[in-house]
Amino acid sequence: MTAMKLSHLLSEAFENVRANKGRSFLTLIGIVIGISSVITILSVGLGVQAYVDDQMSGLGSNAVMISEGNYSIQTRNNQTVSTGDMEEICGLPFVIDCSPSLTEIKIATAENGKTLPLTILGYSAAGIALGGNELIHGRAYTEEEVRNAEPVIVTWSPVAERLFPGEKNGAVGRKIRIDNVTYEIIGEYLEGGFGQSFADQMNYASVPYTAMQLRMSGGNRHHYGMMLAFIDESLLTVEEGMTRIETVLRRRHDIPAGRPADFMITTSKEMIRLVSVVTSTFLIFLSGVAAISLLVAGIGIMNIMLVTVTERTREIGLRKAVGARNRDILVQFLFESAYLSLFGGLIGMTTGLLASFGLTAGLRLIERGFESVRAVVNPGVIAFTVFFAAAFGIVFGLVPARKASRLEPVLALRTE
Amino acid sequence: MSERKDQNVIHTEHLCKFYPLGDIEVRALNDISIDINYGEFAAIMGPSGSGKSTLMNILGCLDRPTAGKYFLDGTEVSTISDNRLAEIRNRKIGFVFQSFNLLPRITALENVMLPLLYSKNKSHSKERAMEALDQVGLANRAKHKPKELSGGQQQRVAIARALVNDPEIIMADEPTGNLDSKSGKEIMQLLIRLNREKGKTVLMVTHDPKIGAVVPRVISVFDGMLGSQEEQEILQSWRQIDYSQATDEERAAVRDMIAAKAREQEEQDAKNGVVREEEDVHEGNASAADAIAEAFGTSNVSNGTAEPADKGTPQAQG
Repeated sequence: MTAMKLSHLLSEAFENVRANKGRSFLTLIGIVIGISSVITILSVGLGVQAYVDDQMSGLGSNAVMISEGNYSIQTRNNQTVSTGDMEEICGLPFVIDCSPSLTEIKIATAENGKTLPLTILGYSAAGIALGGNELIHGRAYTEEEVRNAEPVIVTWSPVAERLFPGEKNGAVGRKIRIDNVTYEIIGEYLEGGFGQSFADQMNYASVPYTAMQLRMSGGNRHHYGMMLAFIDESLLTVEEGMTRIETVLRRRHDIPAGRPADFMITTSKEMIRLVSVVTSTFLIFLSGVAAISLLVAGIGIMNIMLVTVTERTREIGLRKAVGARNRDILVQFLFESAYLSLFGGLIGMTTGLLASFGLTAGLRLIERGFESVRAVVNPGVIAFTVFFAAAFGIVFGLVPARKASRLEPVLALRTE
Repeated sequence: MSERKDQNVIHTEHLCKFYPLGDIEVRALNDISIDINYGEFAAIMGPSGSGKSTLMNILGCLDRPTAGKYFLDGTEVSTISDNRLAEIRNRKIGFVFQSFNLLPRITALENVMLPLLYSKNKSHSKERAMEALDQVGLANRAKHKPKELSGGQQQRVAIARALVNDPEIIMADEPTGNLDSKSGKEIMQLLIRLNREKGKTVLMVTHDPKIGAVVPRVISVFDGMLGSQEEQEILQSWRQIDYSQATDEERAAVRDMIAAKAREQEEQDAKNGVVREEEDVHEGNASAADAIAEAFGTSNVSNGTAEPADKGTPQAQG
């Protein structure tokens, strides 16, 4: 195709779209809605997915979670995960370290009288260190402090700031009271990290698990709802480690193989996978809905192009009479429908991006943790969508364009 | 062009066009064998439904015959592909239509350039289109859109479009049918000039007997066959067999008879002072007929020669 021909096709398509402003506009609306909803859904959806991934990636990939009970099957006479269970698991050669994972929700009162509901996690020293947490101020609690059940507490930002507004360095050295016991803040971790999903909505802190058992009401010294074991991946895979631990626990709980266990072993990887399955299912579902709107838009294009072809039968006949081949007519009409949908696609892209950013701005206003969701503008997605819009015009323009190209010049000229 | 003066630009052998219509077959054209020389100025005549448009479409390579052969400028075109046919239309034929058929949204110049868009030779498109517009005297209207031009001007733009690729033949379907008297004459004069000065073969289609009466050559078509209705009826009654079997001599004789009868009628009318009402008068056609009569200096009814009839004889059979 020569340059002259291309520029001619372009200006012709432009002229024809312009000549039927109202009609073209209505057709465009369909494409704009379709493309912009696809872009919005993908940008915001990818943003949510990135956010969730980011939240979950704090979990160390070598962590295995052992929790009592079995959610999938009803079991009787459930035994809890006991200290004995934990000690034996901790003694396994492939387990680097382990930690109980206790959780209590308590009201903390600061020296200045401010109160804050805290989700307090009881870990061993290794539990925090191996859990992918990033210390930003102060220090972590030591093994000795765990052994002595010292009343020390570490927080995850922004807890310290909420309790002690304006305080720098994570309020290290400050004191807070929980259940009438005074704890000293010794360190602050960056939000995120192990078990800290949706840190913005909740306030996380951690004390030595021994302190929790000893000093907090409701603490149980002999049983853990949940525990963590960190597998040495240089010795065996996390999956193999899970199997071995299951064997140990079945023996200890006296449950023969084949019977449902009264505990569950999961990995952080598995949890990440589960969450991403959920988010991508949502994404696919929403994209499907958007795709339907695009399909409707495409039928709109096809419809309008069929009308155009019928209206311009004479023109087609004339073009053929002066020497246009079938292919010339086909290309002309494909060009026109591609132009129409590409134009709509570009507008849709713009409105889609605006909507994405508008939506995240809206989410930021809602707060409650949603403020961390950022629309992810993926250039690949944008390029694909725009390319798709043009391709779309060609696909849905094909039927009308073929109809046009196959018109007999004689019949076309005869039409009044 | 002169060395080809007596060669055929159009040569057809037993052209037929059938359309299936339910169980029966409609014979739109039946056994048409004609020759048209380079540089001829001819008209295909016939009432509506006679098959003249079908013939024009086939001669214009817009349609293919069901049977028979068609040689255009030496090329057998009845069997070639759609694409080649489009190319032939583009290079060898310039169309002029009754309703002009200009694209409304583009300028006169762009309309004239349209055939070049599909031509293999795209060099100097604009210059060539301007030249063509200049030939029809509309160089100063190049930037105007069709609706800003009068009917006559629009038809001149259409003629420029027909000329732009320098075709052998100009095929004009009722070119003056939609025009007023003045424009009709101008357009016909333009076609005559192109025929005389540029040596273009001009083939017109018309149903108007006024034009038919004055053009140098008439090809009458009726009921899908060559010859006017009268001619066919007389021959049919003579032969009692298929009309198409009639010999050239018989056909010529019949045409002489008809011409003589028409002259007689005219003389009678003149004597009795009867003015026959002409039905279906088109101002444009009437003045166009005047232009032809002035140019070719003949009125083939009033001067009484058998020349037009002779020329209408099919020259090649088989």
